[in-house]
Amino acid sequence: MKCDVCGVNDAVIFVQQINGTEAMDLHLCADCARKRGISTSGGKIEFSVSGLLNGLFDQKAAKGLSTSPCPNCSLSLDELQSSGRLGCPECAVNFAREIQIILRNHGQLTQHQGRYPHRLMVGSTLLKDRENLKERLRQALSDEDYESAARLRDQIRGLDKTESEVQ
Amino acid sequence: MNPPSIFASRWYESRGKESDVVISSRVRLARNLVDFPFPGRMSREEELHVTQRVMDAVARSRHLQDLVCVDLSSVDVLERRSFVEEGLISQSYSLEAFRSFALKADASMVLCPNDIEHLRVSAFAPGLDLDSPYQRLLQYDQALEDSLNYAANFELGYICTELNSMGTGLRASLLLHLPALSDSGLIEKAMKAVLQQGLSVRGFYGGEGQSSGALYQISNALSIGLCETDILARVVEQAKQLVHYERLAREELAEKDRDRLSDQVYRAYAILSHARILSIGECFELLSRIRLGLALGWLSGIDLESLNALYYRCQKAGLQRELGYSDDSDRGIAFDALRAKKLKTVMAACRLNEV
Repeated sequence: MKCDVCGVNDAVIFVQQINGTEAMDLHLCADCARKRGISTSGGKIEFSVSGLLNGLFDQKAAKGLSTSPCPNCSLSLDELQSSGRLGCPECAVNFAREIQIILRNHGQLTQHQGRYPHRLMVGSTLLKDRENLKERLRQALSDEDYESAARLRDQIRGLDKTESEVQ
Repeated sequence: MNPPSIFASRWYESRGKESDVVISSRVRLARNLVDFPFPGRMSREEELHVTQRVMDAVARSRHLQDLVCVDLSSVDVLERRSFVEEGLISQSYSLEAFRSFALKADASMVLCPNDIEHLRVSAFAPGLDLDSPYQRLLQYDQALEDSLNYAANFELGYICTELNSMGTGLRASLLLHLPALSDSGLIEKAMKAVLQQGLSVRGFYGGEGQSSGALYQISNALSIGLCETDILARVVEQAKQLVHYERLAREELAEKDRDRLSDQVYRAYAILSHARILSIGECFELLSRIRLGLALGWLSGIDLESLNALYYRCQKAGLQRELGYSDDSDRGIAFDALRAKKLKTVMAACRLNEV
């Protein structure tokens, strides 16, 4: 079997990555595994989930994406993939879709939850956040997960406070 | 102002929760300014400009007056290296003399401009405690955003250089001591379970990369999709499970494999008490056994906090400074001799209990 990342060398390491509820099997050659921070030498394990992301992206999602570099800092998609790093804040706009795909491959929700800088805390954001939190609070209560429920309740109170400060 | 002395008391010298397994907790926030390219793609002038803005923001806020700015050009190589050994700045960051960073006297808060992100603010606590470092960070962050224009948008939250910091910009890490899971071979299984929960794991190596001493660092792999408190809760939940399984494994080993395990602990005691030459790798490996011996009650007289401090202070620059060596020439075996001497002093307080 060939390596899922480079497609050239024989795969020697098998990794199962769980993305939310979905399991994804990866077969890696020794080189690609090492590059992605997985090493089994000396009886020690080293894992880096983030290191895996680039490889996944190469294979499964690289078709039909933006090929033009960032107009502000000239970072290319290739550089973004190989380093996992942006070149400037504008890259987040130029590569918005690509970033979403990379992050989604990890099975994580790609809509940011949590704090924003104060200047972004406009009414609509607050409204959306509160609805979201209330929904999760309802869910937590119906699951009898009181620890989460208490935390969510505090967050909603926190939002109410922030909003009264904004207005 | 002078940078805090190595002799000043540090956050890691006080006691934390679950400290038999969890050595320390760290929470870090990544923040970036809208008007500049990211570190690695910025000019020296732009870098200095960002540093200036950050330091101005620190100076302006009355909530940040407990920070002391350290200009790397004004400290010697030795001092720079000891900042690295204490985990305050990265090795590569320390190499450029024109850089500066800010820290609290007990090193429990560090604010570092232009290391991968425009600004990284870290908070530390002993044992298992992500909440209090996060609360401290939150205060700092709110104070800083009054004068700094952070890059952010609705979908991606805080825009970061590293994709895995995008969103909250939050990285919560715990340093764990897992000797029984390592010894019994269960560590691989345990770490796979942690990995499946969306966390990353790495072995934690001693100063010269020789030995892990059963130290592992776990942290959240991505920063987006969950809010700050949920990320912290997820990391803590995993840590609590690891603490539980490590304790079970210790009990089981202590019962079933008592002779071998106690032999290891007492040999470590004997070597650390009497060795004249001690490499950092051997030192970490033996400290791991002493730590286990203390947790099992087979040894006493030393507290875990002073043992934790040794992890930082028996590295090269720490020893060099403490023992008053000012020159930077590599004395090879001399360091190993100094380390042995320090360990001998610490171990003098250690008592052996009957197993």
